[in-house]
Amino acid sequence: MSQATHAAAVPAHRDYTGAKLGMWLFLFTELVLFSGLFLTFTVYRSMHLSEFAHAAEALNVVLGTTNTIILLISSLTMVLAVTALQKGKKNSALLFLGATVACALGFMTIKYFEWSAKIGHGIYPNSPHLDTLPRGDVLFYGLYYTMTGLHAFHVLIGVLVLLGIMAMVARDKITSHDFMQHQPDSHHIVPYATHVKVLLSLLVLTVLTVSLAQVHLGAWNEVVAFAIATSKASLVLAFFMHLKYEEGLFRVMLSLAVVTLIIIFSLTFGDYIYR
Amino acid sequence: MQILATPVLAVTLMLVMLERTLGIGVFDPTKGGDPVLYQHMFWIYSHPAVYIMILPAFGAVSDIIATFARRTIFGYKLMALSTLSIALVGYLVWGHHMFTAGMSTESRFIFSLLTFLVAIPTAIKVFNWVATLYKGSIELEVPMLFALAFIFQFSIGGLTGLLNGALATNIQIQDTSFVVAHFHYVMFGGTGFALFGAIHYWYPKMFGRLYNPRPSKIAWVLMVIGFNTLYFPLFIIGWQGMPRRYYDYLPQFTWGNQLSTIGSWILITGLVMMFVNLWRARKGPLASSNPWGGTTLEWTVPSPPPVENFETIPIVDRNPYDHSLTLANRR
Repeated sequence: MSQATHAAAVPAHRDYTGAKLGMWLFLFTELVLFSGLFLTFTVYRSMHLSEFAHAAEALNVVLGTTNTIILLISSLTMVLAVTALQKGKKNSALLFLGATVACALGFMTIKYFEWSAKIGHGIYPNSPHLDTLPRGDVLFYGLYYTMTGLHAFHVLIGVLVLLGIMAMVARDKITSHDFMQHQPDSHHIVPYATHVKVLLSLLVLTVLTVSLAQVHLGAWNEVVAFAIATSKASLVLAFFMHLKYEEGLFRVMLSLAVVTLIIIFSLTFGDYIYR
Repeated sequence: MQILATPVLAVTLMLVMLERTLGIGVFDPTKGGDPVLYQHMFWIYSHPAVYIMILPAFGAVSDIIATFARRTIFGYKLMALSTLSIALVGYLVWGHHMFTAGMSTESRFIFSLLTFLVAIPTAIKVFNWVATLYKGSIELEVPMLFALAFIFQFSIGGLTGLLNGALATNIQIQDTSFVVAHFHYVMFGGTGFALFGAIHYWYPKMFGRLYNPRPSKIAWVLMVIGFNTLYFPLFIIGWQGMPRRYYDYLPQFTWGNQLSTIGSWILITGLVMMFVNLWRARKGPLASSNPWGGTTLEWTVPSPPPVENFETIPIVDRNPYDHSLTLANRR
């Protein structure tokens, strides 16, 4: 491409790599943020194993699984919106974005019923009933509300951002030529079919997690759950978040974040296992 | 580092907030929570935070020393590697703040060992700065004076850090003014002085004006005397048992506290003098593009740098601290 046509195609100075870098940095800080909660959860779980297991069994498996599936579907509709936009199909992009918002609202509705049922049973932080339960239950539910609450807060912010993006797509502020504001991405268009296949694998893995959790394998329950969760996360990162098609830099950043988490967990547990 | 550590602090503060408002119980021992876990999470952020502050200071000192000794930094590759290894190992040592907080013995051992490891790359840096000065054409301009004070004070701060990091001595000096002195020797005598050196080094570049070096040199003398008078007695009385965060003290600590107070007056005089001098320099004589004879790229553009500082991307074919041309021109 000659200098002149290049200048015409790119009217203003645009730094796609920089924008992508910023987005990934944000995501990795989110990863570390939630890891603080995972750390708190795993530390207290290791201290109160049976109480945490007992409390976890009291959660509604059907509602939880449904919400997981809704979340997975919403990630599919989100990446489909990106692909549609890359192909210049504005209306399908809007449709997929709308579906994502609908999924988010559905998720929040189910969460509302889940929380209401718990609060109806008198289980909420500082409640008179919860204070009579063992300490493991108090901690479990304290963290349950904190973690699901922080996640729901993220979902709410996501809805607002998506509505903003929909408005921009509708007004042609984000187009197939310049979708930077929408999703930092290379010009590699991933076909719809790939995304659907990824979703199906994620759903199969979810069903596997739920069904294996009913079988008592002892310590292997944790190993299996972690293995499945890791493979699900890898699928989402590689395909839905396009890491497979990105520069090596972002993989290096991801590995730095993962190393950080390993350090935080192993050194903290280096204290707790010897207590 | 900041990116990987700050979110931990954010979520910890969120947990504390929910603890205080809703009573979720995570750090409340009456509900089964463990306050030591809070300390872990606080220090997972707060220890890397001090390295976030000191690493840029290291960089500034390397630039200043290379420029005013007219030499390339001794062991440049190891300097870069030691920065990386401090960043990595600095993430692994947060537990040394909690030796007396109720951690397990094994964990204290691990954290103590890791803390000692940080001393290695840090010592490499100190020795390399000193080696850079060896046989250099040293010019005692204001930034260089601050860099030299940095090496002296930071070395004291670093070495007393080993006393804090050793498990046996830590029990003696935990929560005493010894820790206060150590921290200030690293963060103020180290990072602070490096920052003042950096301000004096890049002031002509940032604002295109020269400051009058004489008041800054006098301020430097006052600050070095004041700083050491303020903080060195705290090492001694801290070792003898003066607890930190107490406004009152036993009679045997009177001399140290009084000397320290006098030091603070000298220090603040120097600080005020320095900042007033820098403030007055905004109307000082115009600075050339390279008043110090620096060799790094910022000295090749006008002072202050224009908006598009490089019309074309500069071609770098020399070592960043290659002073051979400057020295040849002088002869």
